[in-house]
Amino acid sequence: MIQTDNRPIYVRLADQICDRILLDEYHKLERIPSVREYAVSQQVNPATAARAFEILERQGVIFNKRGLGFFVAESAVELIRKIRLETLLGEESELFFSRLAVLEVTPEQLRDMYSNYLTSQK
Amino acid sequence: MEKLNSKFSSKRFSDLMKAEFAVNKSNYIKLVIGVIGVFAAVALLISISAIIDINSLEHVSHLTGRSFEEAVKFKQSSHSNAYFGLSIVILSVGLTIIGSLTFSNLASKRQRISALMIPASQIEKFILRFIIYSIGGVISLLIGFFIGIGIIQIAYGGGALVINNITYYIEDFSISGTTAWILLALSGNSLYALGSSLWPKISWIKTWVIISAIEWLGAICLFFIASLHVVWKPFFMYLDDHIIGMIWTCIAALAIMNIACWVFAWVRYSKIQIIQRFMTK
Amino acid sequence: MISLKNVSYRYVGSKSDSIADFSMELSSGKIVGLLGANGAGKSTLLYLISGLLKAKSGDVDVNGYNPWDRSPEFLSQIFLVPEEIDLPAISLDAYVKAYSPFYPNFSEESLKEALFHFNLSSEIHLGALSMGQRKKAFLAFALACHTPVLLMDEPTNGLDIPGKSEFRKAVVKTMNDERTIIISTHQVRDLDQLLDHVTIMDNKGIKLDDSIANLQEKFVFGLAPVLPENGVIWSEPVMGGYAFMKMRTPDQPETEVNLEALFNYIYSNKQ
Repeated sequence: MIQTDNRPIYVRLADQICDRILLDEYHKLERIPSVREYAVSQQVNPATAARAFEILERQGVIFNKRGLGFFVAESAVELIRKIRLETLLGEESELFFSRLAVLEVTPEQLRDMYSNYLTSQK
Repeated sequence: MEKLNSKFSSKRFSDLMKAEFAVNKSNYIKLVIGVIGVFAAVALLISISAIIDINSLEHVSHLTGRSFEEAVKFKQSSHSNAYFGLSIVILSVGLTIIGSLTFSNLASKRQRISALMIPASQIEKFILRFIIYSIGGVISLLIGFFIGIGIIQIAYGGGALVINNITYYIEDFSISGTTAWILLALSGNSLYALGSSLWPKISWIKTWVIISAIEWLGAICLFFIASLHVVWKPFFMYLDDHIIGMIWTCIAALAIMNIACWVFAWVRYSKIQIIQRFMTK
Repeated sequence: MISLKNVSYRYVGSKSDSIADFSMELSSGKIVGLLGANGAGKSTLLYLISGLLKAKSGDVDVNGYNPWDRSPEFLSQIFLVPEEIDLPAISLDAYVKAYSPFYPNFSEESLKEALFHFNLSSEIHLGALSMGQRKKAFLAFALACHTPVLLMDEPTNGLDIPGKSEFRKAVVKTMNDERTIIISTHQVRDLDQLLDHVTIMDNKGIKLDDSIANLQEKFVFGLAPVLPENGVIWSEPVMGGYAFMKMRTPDQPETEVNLEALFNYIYSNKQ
């Protein structure tokens, strides 16, 4: 099974920044590296990096202070979780649920599987 | 004024010159040492042969009834004549060789890219090559020539011997003759410089082949003309009456040819592209 | 801005134009990838833009200059890094001292930085370097000249693996809205994340000339164990399945442009 991420680079970059925020590498209200610094460290076109920042700013995950750079929003962590949950339960789950339905998996079986998973992770 | 600055700027020109010498320093040093070396070697050989030649000195002394010292002077004089004769050959050939190097910086594609992309005007780059390989060539050959004379002077233990020879030559030659000879020698430089602009790679041989071919063709044409007795006799009579005029016509023709060579070289240079018909790789 | 209008060029002795009636416009601030098979004419295009070749017909304009005029002002705004580099056997210091006066935007600091990225000391002697190191030194100088137009012909050829990454960083660092960088290459994988514009050529001319953003909008690039049922315009078996291309409909999420796939798609279309 081929596992590849062929989402555009700007989407992956935005995701990566979100990961770092969730992992507490970037703290709330703190400055993150600039578009240029990010482009250099990831070796991508600055325009691409700019697009990633644009997405995050539009979503409210980061905000821009003129002349100072980009900062992590106060409620960034919650926001990211919310967005990712929506995505997971939205597009990504369509395919998963359709496959479950074809295999006639019941909601109870699904719930049990999830409980077992959570237990085994402890 | 804008246009003038765009074509020639003395600051840019001096930057260009500094860059040329910084980048090719070792090549130019080798060239100058080579030129001086040739003259020095010839001078040394001549001086040594004059000094070693003791047997024939005694022979000369005996035959002419002169003293040994006078025989030595006589031998030295004839040997330094040899130096002048050889110098003329070295100067002429040397000028052609140096001329053929004028556009050696365009020999390979790599070199052409570097040379053409330097932010200076075409005319500045061209003038620099002219100064180095025409004027510079003449100067370095003359320096070599005089160093050779210096060596001979030292070997002969000083004295105005060699300088005398120079004044002798100048008195013997007329101004027109000297001018003609100088222009002829410079023609070698100009022709080979033109050849270098057409074929920057292995330039000397290619130019020599073409010039020889033209000379052969010219000689064949002259031969046919000469066989026309009708043309020949009146030509000689005309020549006798107008010899001075003829020489100056030749001088004018030579001067024009020299200038024409450089003009054509410039035309060729200014239109050079990275890939050309006359050049291979 | 670089613009070519109805430009044709034919090599001496060739029966057909290697570039025919080609028009292209590039605004500044772009990193352009120039792709094409061997002999497609990539170098020809670079030479036309730098004034090393004269167009048979048409106009070439680079920031208001006609490259063929070879005016010194134009030449100081453009830098060409050829595939094979001509470096003299002198110290880097002497080389920089000789040539930097010709480039008004040259920055000593940028040079030091670039050399640092490439792991080269400033005290090097060009004659003592390996070929890869010579290329790095030359690239460092080229980048430090900060010319508005920078043309590179196969810049990653001869660079070791760390060198390619160092190169990418150095290029991105130097980029700004006034610069245009055109990189001609076969090694798309070395550079695809840098590009915002792609031009693909073959020996009949320009086959594609578009921004990455537009291409992301127009096409979907995918890798899957099984080919999708419909809409596939190009595909190729790869390890574990297929690489494919489809036209994109606005509802589909954008995918990253797979330059190799795009290239093969263009070349397989004998239009």
